[in-house]
Amino acid sequence: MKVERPLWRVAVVVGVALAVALPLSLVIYQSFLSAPFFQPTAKGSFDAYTFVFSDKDFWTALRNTVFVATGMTAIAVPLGGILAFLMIRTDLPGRSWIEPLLLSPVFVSPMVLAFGYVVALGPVGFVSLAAKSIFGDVPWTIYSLPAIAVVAGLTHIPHVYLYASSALSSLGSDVEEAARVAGAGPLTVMRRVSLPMIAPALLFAGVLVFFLGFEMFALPLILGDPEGILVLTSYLYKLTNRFGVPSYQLMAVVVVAILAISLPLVLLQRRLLRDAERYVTLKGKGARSKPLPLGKSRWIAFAGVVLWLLVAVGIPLAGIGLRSVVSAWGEGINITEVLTLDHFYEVFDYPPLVHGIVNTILIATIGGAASVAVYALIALSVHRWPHPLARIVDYAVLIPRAMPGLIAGLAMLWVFLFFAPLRPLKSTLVSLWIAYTLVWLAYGMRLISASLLQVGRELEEAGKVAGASTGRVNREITIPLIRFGLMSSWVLIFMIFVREYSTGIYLLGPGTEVTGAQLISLWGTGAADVVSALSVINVATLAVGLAIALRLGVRLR
Amino acid sequence: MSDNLKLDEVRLTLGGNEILKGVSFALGRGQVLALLGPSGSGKTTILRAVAGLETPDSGKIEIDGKPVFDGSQKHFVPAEKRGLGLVFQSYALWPHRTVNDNVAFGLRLRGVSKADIERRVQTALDQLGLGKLGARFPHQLSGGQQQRVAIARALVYEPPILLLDEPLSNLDTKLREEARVWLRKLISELGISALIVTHDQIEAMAMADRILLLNEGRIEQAGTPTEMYAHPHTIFAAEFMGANNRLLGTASSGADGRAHLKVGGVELVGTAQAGAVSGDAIGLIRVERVSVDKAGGPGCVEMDLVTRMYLGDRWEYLFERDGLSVRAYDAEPLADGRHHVRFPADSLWIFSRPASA
Amino acid sequence: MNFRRSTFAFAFLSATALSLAATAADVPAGYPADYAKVIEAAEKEGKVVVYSSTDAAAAQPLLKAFAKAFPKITVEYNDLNSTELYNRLISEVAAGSTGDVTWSTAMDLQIKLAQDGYAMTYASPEKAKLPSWAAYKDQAYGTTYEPILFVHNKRLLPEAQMPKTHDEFIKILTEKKAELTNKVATYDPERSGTGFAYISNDQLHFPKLWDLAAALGGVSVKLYTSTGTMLEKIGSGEHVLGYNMIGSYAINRGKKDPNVGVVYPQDYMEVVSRVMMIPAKAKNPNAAKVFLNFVLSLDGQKAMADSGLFAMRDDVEGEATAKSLKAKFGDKLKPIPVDDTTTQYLDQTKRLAFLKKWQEAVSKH
Repeated sequence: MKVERPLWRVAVVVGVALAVALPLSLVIYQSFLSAPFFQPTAKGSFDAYTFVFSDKDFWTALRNTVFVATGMTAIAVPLGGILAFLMIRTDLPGRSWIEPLLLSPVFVSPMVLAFGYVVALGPVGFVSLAAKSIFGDVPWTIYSLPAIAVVAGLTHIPHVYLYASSALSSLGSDVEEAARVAGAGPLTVMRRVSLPMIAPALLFAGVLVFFLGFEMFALPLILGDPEGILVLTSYLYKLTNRFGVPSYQLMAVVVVAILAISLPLVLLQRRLLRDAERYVTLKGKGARSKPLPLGKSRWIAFAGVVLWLLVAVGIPLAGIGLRSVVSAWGEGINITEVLTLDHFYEVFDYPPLVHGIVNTILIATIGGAASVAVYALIALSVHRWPHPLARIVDYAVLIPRAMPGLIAGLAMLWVFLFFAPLRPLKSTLVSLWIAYTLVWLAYGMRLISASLLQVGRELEEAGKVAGASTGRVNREITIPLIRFGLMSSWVLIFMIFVREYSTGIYLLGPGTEVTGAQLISLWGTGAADVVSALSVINVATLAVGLAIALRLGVRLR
Repeated sequence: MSDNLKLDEVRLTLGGNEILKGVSFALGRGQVLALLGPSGSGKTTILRAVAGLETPDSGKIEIDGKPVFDGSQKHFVPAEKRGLGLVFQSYALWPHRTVNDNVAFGLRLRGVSKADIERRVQTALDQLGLGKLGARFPHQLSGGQQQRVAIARALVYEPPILLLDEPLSNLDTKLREEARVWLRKLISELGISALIVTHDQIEAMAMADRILLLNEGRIEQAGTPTEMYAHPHTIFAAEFMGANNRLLGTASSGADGRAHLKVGGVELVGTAQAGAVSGDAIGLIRVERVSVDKAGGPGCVEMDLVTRMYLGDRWEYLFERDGLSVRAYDAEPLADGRHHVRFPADSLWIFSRPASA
Repeated sequence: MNFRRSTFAFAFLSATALSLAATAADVPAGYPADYAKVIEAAEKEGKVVVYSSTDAAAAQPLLKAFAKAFPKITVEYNDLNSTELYNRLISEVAAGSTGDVTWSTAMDLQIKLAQDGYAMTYASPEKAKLPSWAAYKDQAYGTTYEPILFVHNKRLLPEAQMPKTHDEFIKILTEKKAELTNKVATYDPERSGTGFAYISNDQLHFPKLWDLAAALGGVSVKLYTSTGTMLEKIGSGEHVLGYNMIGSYAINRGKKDPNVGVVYPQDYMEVVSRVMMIPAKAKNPNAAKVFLNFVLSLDGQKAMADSGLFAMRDDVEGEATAKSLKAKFGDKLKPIPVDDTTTQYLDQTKRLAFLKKWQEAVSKH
């Protein structure tokens, strides 16, 4: 009796649950078999669990993964919070041009970043060689577990920033003003008032980053390769080779283990989100807050932000950029002698790479818009619906992201193969779009619901009392009110889709080539020069998309 | 069937807290009823339950004789089908629509023709003195104008009942007093029924025909403004309805419903509430009922003037003696020193003191 | 008007005649007469879906040559790594239908597919032109002849100092231990299937393999999963010496990057071959046959040589060919045969035992 259960809401919830459960249940089912689930020889068995849990490498990989995830969370959360405070609340110089750059680490493929780090900061990278000429030695190594954690931490700051900044901007500035009147300097205000007030958002982001640490693949793959550093995702690789042929049941067990760790996190995150909602103070009118003057220390803060941007994006992108225009690099090479544009000509010489670029743009723009529409539909279907079914969606959306991209990709292939209604879509861009949309469900939903949280409950209730059905309220009130949020979500999804690399690997084929996945397969065969040129094009696509969006007045928050 | 609205034993739980613990009342046609109470008393929840924005656990709500909620039948009419008008505390004007579009929304939903919409919106705006502001957006209006738009939006489709949630709380003091008069006049001119939520007893008394005083999810007392002010049944009602002197002491019963209250070294005579009173007691007397008597006499106590405050139209004084301290008004400035302070026995209500008071 | 129509009609007729003639002429010498029917059916199918671990860029010359020879058959070329290829094939077969040709560097996985009954039995008319070790039960065919080489950074480790044999490789590792520490790269047999194949095959030809492994351990060899990373890092000077590198990639890389050099081992040289097969459940079996035959044909093998993938047929001339290798190295060439032996290490016990031995050897220093 308590809450109504309109059919359309139920339908959307069931749809989401199904979309998540299909690949997930395949993986879980597989973990209890002795052979690939589609082979007649497959029998029920716990052997896979026994094997994995008694494998020394599994525990090493798990330990390393926890280390990296913890380390990156410990770095990204405080720095992301500080960054948000500086950007939203203070008179930090250059905020307007820093803002679009802030998110760049998220949108550059980690593959590209990692390779860029090797070219710039590796033992013979150009920055390292410069350092060597000064110090006589390279005072760092990027092929270590702590280095991976630091790089991952620095590149995940924007995730925290996104949540922290939206929480901060919906927080009334009067609480900070009260603290300042009481005699607190900017630093104290931030430490004692602002950041504690947005603690739920920070915690939420922290859990997300920790989560992403489990799923991270390209960074440990490239930076951990020479030392053979294993994390759970690269352990999957090793497992495959242990037997020479892929053992799905073992991989499935690892995924189940990852889920067993991340599902409690999902529950935690859900709780945190509820708390976060309690903190939302913005109603109809949002008071514009005055920036907090930092005084002279604003230049120190500015230098900090620039240094971070330099390390997290500038240096690796410079590395990739440099690599794309030289035929050789390293110790003792005179750059001016090896400059060339051949790698770019090469890219445009191979039709599949050109198709990849075109498809990437298509799936990111049109597909991105369609995904935002899907996310909005799902978000609206559970919006202000206090039914237990609505909670299923909250939990469900985070699950696909908890699966390593490669496995998610394989599971998606299975879904398209063995779920008859989807089979005709298999080798079309639509299949890729569905996979992308599903894997980024949590991220997209979070973007939309952040906008929805800003809509005062009463604005919608006023519509209902006036006689409008829920659908009508959504169409005429809620959606128009979040239209700017939808636009910025579209831009963010566009960027995510441009860089996406692991999900699509198994769905790739003629007609469904995308740059991100091509980069991975090219890297394997040693075409580093084409990889770098293609990366530059990939990053340029992002930059152009972002520039157009900003030009059209889209705000990213 | 002259009741516009009827609630019967409505109970409602939110997040594990029982907000309404069985509320029953009726709103007569053309009547203005104020739901009065401190925050957390459940007044807004009642309004929202009537509007269909909250679903009670049990009980019954009828509008114009038709049930819109019946816990025993599992019957619930959603907000959009109840046809009521609601003015939100925040006004909840849609920021992306002009004043015209805000007001026209309810008519559009009812399939009114374009020409009619235009005419009726204009009439409503004219009526509320907003005639020329139709093309503006809400953020281009003052607080008072926004409030009127919100009312116009709720009235334009002629709902049987107008619900107002703290309609005046967002206005500044001066504007609030004007709006009070204006709103009362508007409602009586239109002859509609209205349910007003407020936490301000003066607002409630000024605007309502009847007041429903709520305390922790229950109706503490219901009645006309004069009944509520002059004859509160409980300490809570007495304290809530006016500005009082609160005297803690011990009581002993007297004759003819009188009681004696001993506060410090002073003994006062008052009216015993709810039968005989003895032992720990609390005496309540409205500040304006305490007066200074030049001559003194029965019911008077000699007290020291401690503090004075000039309020413009009168003075407010604080008197003390032997642990008894009271506030009183007087039109005249008084000299320092001792004065005869009168406590009319009919106005000093003496209640038994509950253990917690 | 009349005139124009007749011209048009003539053009149409002659085009038809030409295409008929072309089809007939396309049956190469030595092919059965009814091969024309296969081509006809293939053209009707119109496309061939190839799953390949050879990246599209490297396969470009081959694909262009095929397009020229069979313009009516489009190639849908799917670029996958060898594990993905295997996964995709067995999944798709279970679901009903799959690609038409698989072409992979992972010889063991291809043979395993054939052993497990995924391959179509088809005797290619080109079979006679191939070495006997290159065909597996008319089901899987070797297509290239790629040497496994030593790779070095020419600036930091000049060719004169480079080892020429596996013995010398051990020697340089021990003699220049300090200089070469952290500077040597090879595949990680634990994480890379191809790497496993090369090093496990070394056992057959090099009795001192475990000394080599220990020497590699002595210089803290860096172990990789992909050729790309290793070549990039040898080019940049992060590493100076690479063991068991795929020759075709390294040589191609050396053409672009003057720092990368290769050395052909003189004592013995492993040769690997990309294996091609037609899945039993291929959707376009005729087009698949035409494609397979083309890859094995003289024209196809010439294209293979052009892209530096080393043609395996002895009648192909040029630098990247079996012929030129054989001329220089003769019986030092040790091709890994396309037969059941490639899958011996898919046996878990055997594989784990080898890996354990490798790990012990490498960590003992």
